[in-house]
Formats: sequence, C-alpha cells, structure tokens
Amino acid sequence: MAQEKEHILFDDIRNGNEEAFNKAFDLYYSRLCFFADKILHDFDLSRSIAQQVFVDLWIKREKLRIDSLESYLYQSVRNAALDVLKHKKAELKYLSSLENEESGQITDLIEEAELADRINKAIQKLPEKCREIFVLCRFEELKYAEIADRLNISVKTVEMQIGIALKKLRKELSDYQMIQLFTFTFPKKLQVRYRVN
Amino acid sequence: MHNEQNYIDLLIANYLSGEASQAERDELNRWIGESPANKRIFEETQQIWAKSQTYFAAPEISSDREKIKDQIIQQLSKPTKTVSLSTWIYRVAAILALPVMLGIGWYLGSAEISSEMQMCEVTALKGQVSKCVLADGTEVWLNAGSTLKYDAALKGNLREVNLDGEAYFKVSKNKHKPFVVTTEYAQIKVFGTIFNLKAYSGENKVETTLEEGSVVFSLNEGSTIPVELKPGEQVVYNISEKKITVGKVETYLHTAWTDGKFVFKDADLHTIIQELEKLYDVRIHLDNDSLLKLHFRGMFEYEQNIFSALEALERTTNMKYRMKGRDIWLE
Repeated sequence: MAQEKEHILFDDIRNGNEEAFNKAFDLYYSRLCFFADKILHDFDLSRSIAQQVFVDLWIKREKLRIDSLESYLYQSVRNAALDVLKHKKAELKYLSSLENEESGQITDLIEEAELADRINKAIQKLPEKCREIFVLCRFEELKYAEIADRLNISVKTVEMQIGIALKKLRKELSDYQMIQLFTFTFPKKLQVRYRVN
Repeated sequence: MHNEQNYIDLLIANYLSGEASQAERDELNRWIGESPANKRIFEETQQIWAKSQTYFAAPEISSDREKIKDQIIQQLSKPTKTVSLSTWIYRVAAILALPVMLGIGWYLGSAEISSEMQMCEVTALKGQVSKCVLADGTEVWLNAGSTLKYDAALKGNLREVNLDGEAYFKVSKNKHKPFVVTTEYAQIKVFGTIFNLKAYSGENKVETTLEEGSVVFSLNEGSTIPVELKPGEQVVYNISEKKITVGKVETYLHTAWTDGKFVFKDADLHTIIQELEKLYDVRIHLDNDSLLKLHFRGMFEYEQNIFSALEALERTTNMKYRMKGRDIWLE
C-alpha cells in the first residue's frame, strides 16, 4: 500500500474511524498471523498475538505516533512473538539465533509470510469442493484414497480436482514474481520506531 | 492442448502429493525437459505447493475480527477493582495463546425491557479475580471464570443474586431483607455475614464455607432439611451422589483466592488441574492416571504464569509437561 494512503488510514484510525480499523484488519491481519507463525511455528498462538496487536492499536491509537502502519504492525507482532519465545525455554537456542540475525533475515520472514498469505487468499478463492479437496490433501496430508473415502467420491475425482486447484492457483498467482519489494527494513535490534506520548 | 495441460496438471498434482507412479514421474520428467517454459510452469507450481503454510479459512478470519472487537469492549469497560493488576495478565495471556481477555464486562442487559428491573451481570474472566459492590453495600469478590447476575437496585423483599462459579460475599446487615444467593443446585440465605460459595456449573459439587455470622444452605430440589452453618464450618453437596456433608475447615484455604492466591493442603492432582484450567484458560490432560494418586501442598499466585506453576509441579514430582496451544499434557 502506498505510503501516503497508509498514512491516511492510520490518521482515520486515530480519529476513531471503525471503517478504517476494519480496513487495516482486512489488509494486514492474516499476513501478520502468517508472519508470527514463521517465528513461532504455532498458528493458534500466532493468531492470539496478532489479535492483541490489533486490540492495542485501537485502544492506544491516540497515543501512538506511527510513521508507517504496516511497519508498526509487523514490529509489534515480531516483538510479541519474540517475547513469547523468551518464555519457552525449549526454544532458547532458536531465539538466540534469531536475535543475532541480520535485519535481512526478518525481511525474508516477512516476504515468506506475504507469499503464504497470497497463496492462502488464492486458496480461499477456489471453488468450494475443489478447495475442500485441496486442503485435505495439502494440509491434512491425507492420501487420495482417504479423501475419496471421506467425501464419498472417486479417487479419479480427487486427482482431477487437485490438478484443477494447482492450475487455478498458478493462474491467480501468475502476476506474483515471487519477489516482493519492501519499503521498510527492520533495525537489527528491537528498536521502537514509534513514540508513545 | 487444453486437455494436455489438464493432464500435465494432474501429473504435477500426483507428483507433489506423493501419489505419482514411477511411470507418471518419468512422464513428468520428460515433459519438464521438453522446454524451459514447461520447466517454469513446474517450478512455479512446486513453489506454490511448498510455500503454502497452513489454510486460514475466511470464516476463521471473520471470527478473529469479532474476538478483537470483544476484547476491545472488555478492555475499555473498566472493572470496579481487580485484585491483581492487568499488566501481568497481558503477559500471561500473550504467553499462553489465550485470547487475551481483560477487564470485567458490565452489561446492563434488559434495561429496555423493563424500567424497574435492571439486571446486572458481572464476570471475572479466566485468570482474574474481580470485585464489585452491590447497591446495598454488599461486597462480592468473583473468582476466575465466575458470573454474578442480579437486579441492580435489589428491589423486592429479598436481595437476590445468582451465581455460576465461585464468590466470596461480605453481606451488609439487613434483618428485614434477607440476602439470597441462588445457584444451579442450591441456595444460601443470609442476613449479614461473610462466606465463600463455590458452585461452578460443570463441577460435581457445591461448597459453602462460613467465616462469620450464619448462613442457611438448602437444595433447590428435594425435601432435605436446610443446613445452618456456624463460623469455620463448610457444607459440601455432592451433586452426583446427592449427599450433603458438613465439617470444620481452615477457612483460609477456601478464601485465599480473594488475595489472588490458590492455597492447597493435601490436594490431589485433579483438584490442582481444575484450578489451573480455570486460572489460565488451558486444558490439561493426564497421560498417566497413576499421577492422580499424588497429593500436594503449596500455593500458586495468580500473578505467576502457568509455566512457573508447571515447573513447580515438575520440580516436586518427576512428571514432565508438554504444551501445544492451550493444551497441556502431563506425563
């Protein structure tokens, strides 16, 4: 989203415009979930974190001085996710590797999350039956025969529907160069780039 | 050509989902080798397959939007007083993948229906103790996950409130207007006294502990004679066995929660699990039933997070925990 438009969006949120808040949710929520999941590898937990960031955005909106809404949201989610990791002893090793990362790596995670989100949106657009079969195959990791059994259809149908799903996804994502440009980068340390009055 | 492309997509699908036969794999390889364009199509599809992470369905996203709005409402409606401050709740909540719930909701429910009856509902969310003061000056502390409903003005001959969960009452004296707490299975009638009542729906017992004054405990159904309690006594009604027992107890064990503490003495693991589930909004599963034989004494503070509670259990026994989302397994 263009920097300027984004600025207007946050101004509207600050003025208490719920429509603007909804718009920000539509634009960023699922992406942020995928992003947190890249760090935490726990999608439910990632959803909770992203939810809290939106709750805070609304509640503290008048006190926040934000340059870029997008980068504020990503940073808040990232900080919250790292905070959670700190409390998970088992992942201490991973944490230290993450804290020592170059800023480039976090943008990699963002890129991957954006791509996952794009793909997710494309999957959402698949025809219902086709989507159901694809989700069972890709994410539930069921065998063709198991899917056929569960949905009471033939294995041939399953096979064809997955073929169709892939074709449609490829078409939907064809404009996507698998390269994403970012207008902001993350500082190496957890610097806060917004001010609280 | 169109059909051929469909056929190729089918081969790719079979390949990616691991269902391709050797012959199909060979055929796909041949096709990929035919032209750079073919190769690109294959690689693009493979990317899409590999980079799709998890499916986040549109209805789930919508429900998360509603959750955010609920949380905002809850957070903005300030509680009269919470025993423990909310900063730690933030933390615990974030740690635990709880849908973060803060504050108590005050809802003036049926205000439009009748101007005389203004029903109030106060809820203490999981991991939280809340306090409210009723119109007659009675003070009520609500334990985690409990709800109190009452007519805001406490009009009529009785001061009647309804409880699901656990509450500690400091009832202000009024000889002419008894204070009655109704619950799913039993009711407690008092004139002015301090007592604790525990009646969570879904748990198998109703428990009343008297600190000062006197209370009369009676069941909603059946012809059992009401029980009058003396200070320091506790009445327990076992719902499935329909059995009432009265005994002396250390009242502090039953009221410490009002200070944000869960104190237990000779408690079995089942009791501890029940409390932790209420406190932290988690589900705890036991992998090994023999653990139920263990008994514990000790204390958890509401301000501590679930990890310190679990670690304390790990230290005192040789059990281990693992956690996924809001589910915890002990073994």
